[in-house]
Amino acid sequence: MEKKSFTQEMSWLHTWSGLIFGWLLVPIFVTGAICVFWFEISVWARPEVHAMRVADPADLMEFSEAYLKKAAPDSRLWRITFPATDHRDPILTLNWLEPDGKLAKRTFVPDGSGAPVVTSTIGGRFFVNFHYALNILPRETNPVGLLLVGLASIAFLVGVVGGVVVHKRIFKDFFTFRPKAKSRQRTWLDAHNVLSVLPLPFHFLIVFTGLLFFCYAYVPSGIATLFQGSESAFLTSAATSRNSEYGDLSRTEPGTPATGMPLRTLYDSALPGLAPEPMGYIVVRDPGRNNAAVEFFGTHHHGIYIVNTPRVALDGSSGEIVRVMQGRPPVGTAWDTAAGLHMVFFGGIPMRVLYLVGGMAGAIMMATGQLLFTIKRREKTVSPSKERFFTVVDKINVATIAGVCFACVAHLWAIRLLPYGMADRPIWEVRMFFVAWALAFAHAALRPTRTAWTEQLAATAMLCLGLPVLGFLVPHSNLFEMIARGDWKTAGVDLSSVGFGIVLAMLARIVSGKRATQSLHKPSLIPA
Amino acid sequence: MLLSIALLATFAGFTAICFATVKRQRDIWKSPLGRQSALALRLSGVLLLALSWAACAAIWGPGMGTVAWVCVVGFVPIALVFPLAYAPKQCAFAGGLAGALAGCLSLIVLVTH
Repeated sequence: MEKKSFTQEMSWLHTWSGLIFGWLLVPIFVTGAICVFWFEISVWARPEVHAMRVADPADLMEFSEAYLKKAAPDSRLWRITFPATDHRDPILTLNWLEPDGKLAKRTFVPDGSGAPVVTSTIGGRFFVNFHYALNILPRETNPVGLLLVGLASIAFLVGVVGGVVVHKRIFKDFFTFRPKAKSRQRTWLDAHNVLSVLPLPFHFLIVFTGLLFFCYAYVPSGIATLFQGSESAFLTSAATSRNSEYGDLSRTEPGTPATGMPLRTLYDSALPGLAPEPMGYIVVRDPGRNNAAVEFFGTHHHGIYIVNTPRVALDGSSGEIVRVMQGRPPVGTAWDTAAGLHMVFFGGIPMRVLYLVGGMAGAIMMATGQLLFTIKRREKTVSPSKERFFTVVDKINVATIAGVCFACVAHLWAIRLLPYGMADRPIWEVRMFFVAWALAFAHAALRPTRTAWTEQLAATAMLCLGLPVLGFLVPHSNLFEMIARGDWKTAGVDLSSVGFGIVLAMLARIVSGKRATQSLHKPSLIPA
Repeated sequence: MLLSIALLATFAGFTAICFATVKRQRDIWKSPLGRQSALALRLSGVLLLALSWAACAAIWGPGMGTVAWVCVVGFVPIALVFPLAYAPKQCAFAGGLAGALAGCLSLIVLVTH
């Protein structure tokens, strides 16, 4: 057998791993792009917190302390998470440790009135769960989803490197797109190249940091050897844990009852140590005891990190500052920077919009590659058995590219439409995503390829355009009212949905081949 | 304001670099530009990309600004390459306009701060 050149070998790898893992990567990229805004979607999903005034942290602290003293006076741990000052996550969350070791949770609207958050919804969280573990949870006991995503990420990085080798003329063809080329393959290849080469640094960054984020779970032997397989022991030891510096509480005994300093007084002395971040949350260990320890944690809006937030620890009874911490050991910082780069909690809305565009561009780039697979092969003579295989590939392409977009919007429709009093409402919201996706697969299997593309894109466009209309059925979610009161972050979810709807409707029109200009030059870009 | 400077400067910068090649010059002019003009185009392209970095760094600081700049230089040229195939002259014009606008806006920012 003739020996293949390095480029040919790379081409084979790029093609096949791109096709197979692309089916997984396109949905991962689409949900990943959406979950850049998962906090905003979570707010959008809870009408009672729309555009609510966020009370002063000091006032919320008084309310929280009074509530916790009443609800959980003997708990060994309280946690108070304040609504974000940038309105990103405007919910006051109180947690406490129950005697059985479980963490209780209550959520409140942020205006200090003490009214609970009543909507039971998964909010934007499903997109995150699907993005990192294909919604196969909990990942600690069933890591299949997490490992599949990791494998696909490695395939992506291999695809990027292989793609550079195969492409060769990167700089020469930097600005090349030939829509009037004789072969359709050429046009699609140009589009694939333009979408891959220019954003390559971003795509590399986002996938590499994604892999780094769960490095300890992908290669668990370190934790198995050094920490007897306990991930939380590792995280505490690596000092990247969100948990308190006071370590494992079960080793200590609660002190004698004592009247500690009020949290509000402690907050005043802690605040300077948190700068430049505002306060994020408080952890109180052994509240109401003479060994009470109170830790104040800053938020993560002013730096590329997610857990290395500044923190100040105080003695709960004397009010003395025990420790002020800014920054972490080098390895923890490196990990945290990577995580921060991936999660984009920094930089505000403009930065997140850039990431959203990046994720979508990545999904479109891979989608062009998927389509290219059959377009390229059909330009040669094709045997009936190969043709059957290509038809299957085409159908899976429809369902994993257009179908996953359809399922995502269907999920948002479910969030708006399911009855608010429904039992297991969040579970049903998620189920609707998978039901819609299954429908998309069935539809793709039953319809001719081009019709399936057109219909799924058109259906997704209609769902996107209709999403703001549903807001009129739900309190405080009328799009015009949201705009009038300047609630752009929540209105932004509806407005972007309309934007995507318009783009998808245009795509559906192009794919349907109804545009007269298309047929003059050559057959439509999508195979019939 | 600063973000629009970054976006416009990136668009203009890539247009300049693009039309520094003989192949692209043939799309809009009868004869290609001289070597020195091409070099000047390329240089102004690089300077415009530097301006776009400076604008990002002015918004977010050098660290986060660089992350944003990587996104900006990754996606803005996509908005150039696809129209380029259909209307090269208009793209060159839009690039020039974007460059001029970016320059004006930068001046305004420099004067007002």
